[in-house]
Amino acid sequence: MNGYPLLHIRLSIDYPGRPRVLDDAMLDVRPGEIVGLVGESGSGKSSLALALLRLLDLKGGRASGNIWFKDRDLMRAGEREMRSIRGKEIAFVPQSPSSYLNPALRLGDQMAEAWRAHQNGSRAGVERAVCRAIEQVGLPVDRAFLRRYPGEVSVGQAQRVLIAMAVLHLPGLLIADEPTSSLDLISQADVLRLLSRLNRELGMGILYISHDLLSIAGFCDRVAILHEGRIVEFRETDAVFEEPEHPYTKALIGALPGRVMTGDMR
Amino acid sequence: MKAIRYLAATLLLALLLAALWPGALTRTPYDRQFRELPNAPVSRQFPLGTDELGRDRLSRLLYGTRVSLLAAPAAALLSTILAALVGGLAGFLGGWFDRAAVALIDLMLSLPWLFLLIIVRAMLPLNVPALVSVLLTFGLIGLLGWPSAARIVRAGCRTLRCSDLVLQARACGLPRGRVLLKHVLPNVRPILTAQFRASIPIYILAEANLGLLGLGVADPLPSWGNLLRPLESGLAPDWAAWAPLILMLVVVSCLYLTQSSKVVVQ
Repeated sequence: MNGYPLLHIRLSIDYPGRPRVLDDAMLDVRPGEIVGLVGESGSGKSSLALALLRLLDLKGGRASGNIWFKDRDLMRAGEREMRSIRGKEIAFVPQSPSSYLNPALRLGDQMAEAWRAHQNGSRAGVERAVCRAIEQVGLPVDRAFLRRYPGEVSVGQAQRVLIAMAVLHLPGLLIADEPTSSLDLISQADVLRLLSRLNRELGMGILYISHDLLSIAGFCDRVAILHEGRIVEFRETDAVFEEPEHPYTKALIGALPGRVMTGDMR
Repeated sequence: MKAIRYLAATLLLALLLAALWPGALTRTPYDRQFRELPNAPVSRQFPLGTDELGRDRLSRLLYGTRVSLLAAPAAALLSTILAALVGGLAGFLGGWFDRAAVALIDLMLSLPWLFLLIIVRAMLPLNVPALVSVLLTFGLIGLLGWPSAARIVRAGCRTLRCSDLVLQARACGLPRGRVLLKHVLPNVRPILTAQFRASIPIYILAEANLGLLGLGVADPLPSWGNLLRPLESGLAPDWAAWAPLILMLVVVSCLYLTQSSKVVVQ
């Protein structure tokens, strides 16, 4: 891990009729680092994730500022360049697997599509890549599973498929937008453990977005606290927990049940 | 209701089989002229008699059924593909393409399509070989029949455009054309199949209308349209009632079958 940031953003987001959902938010992720972004619902966390992929216009929003990724400013990149980055260098794991997977396409085909978006190759090559990713996320590597439709697997499995799709191309940065919000507690811990393992094994940086400070406390190297459209605190996880500076952070930590254990998930 | 549907399906199947293998029911070619026996009455040799040129009416009816029953679905397929293409692109891309497509659809829907069909067909050469006239007639029906279906497809694709599954596909780096083909259109397939089935009886009737006016399939190839022509004179002999009878049965059967499939879609 070196100090040179993988991603460095300075971003504002406006929606028609709702200006400054995000107001000059600054954030950076170093290679191989896990950064947590915590904020309440509606604070613009998901918009930030979409803005990083330059897909915010799908939801009607508009972003301004800079997104430095490696050595280029993504805000100035054309659609063709963005397309070659999405899924390959910056991957996205969405919130609820039920609506993000295509119900009309088999899981295996969906993953093959994601693979072919950036690689051409033989059938065997595609299958090898898909099986490797499926194995990495701890799903059964068999054809019967890949031939299922999204409606035929559990929510936890569907979420793992989405993670497998995200790690297909071994991206440098993974943006996870509350990937555990629709899972039960045990599957939540599983997914966090999985992401942490992928981070260690594949060395990818993770921007982990959540509304739940407790769940990510032991998982992130640094935490950014988003409040009213601004990043009010962005420091090492331990430092944030030991001496929170901003009143909102203090309130967040004060609201946690019992004593917080840090460092137990890694 | 279910009994009627079975009846309709059986009838269509029987007609389709008869149309595919007319040789099983008659040995006379449809264009063989028995010059010495014009307008012959019903006999053992000619179960439905002969026409004014001495051609076997049963044979002409069977081969005419073949033309109408096979070419109408082909035209329906053509117009459904066009509807998927235009409506899909318009709904998915939005912007100027959407506005242009909607204007074109509105323009075409504002013209009564049968008149449009007659006008366009009349402008094209009429003195063409029989097979070319089949292609021309049904090709034109297919080319002019897409707007109403395109409008429905567009509405379906528009809602999918901002959906999570499209977002996920884009986030994987899939090009927009691929997203449309693999993620959007499969999800409007129920609309497309319903449109396809609903078009068939309409197109059969359209060809009959054109044929009645002498703008449809050209002699000597029979079709339900040109078999109806003797009715024009008002002095139709008994046998002429067979063509409209079968036509009516087929159209009603198709309508019953499409109605049932629409219920399933809803």
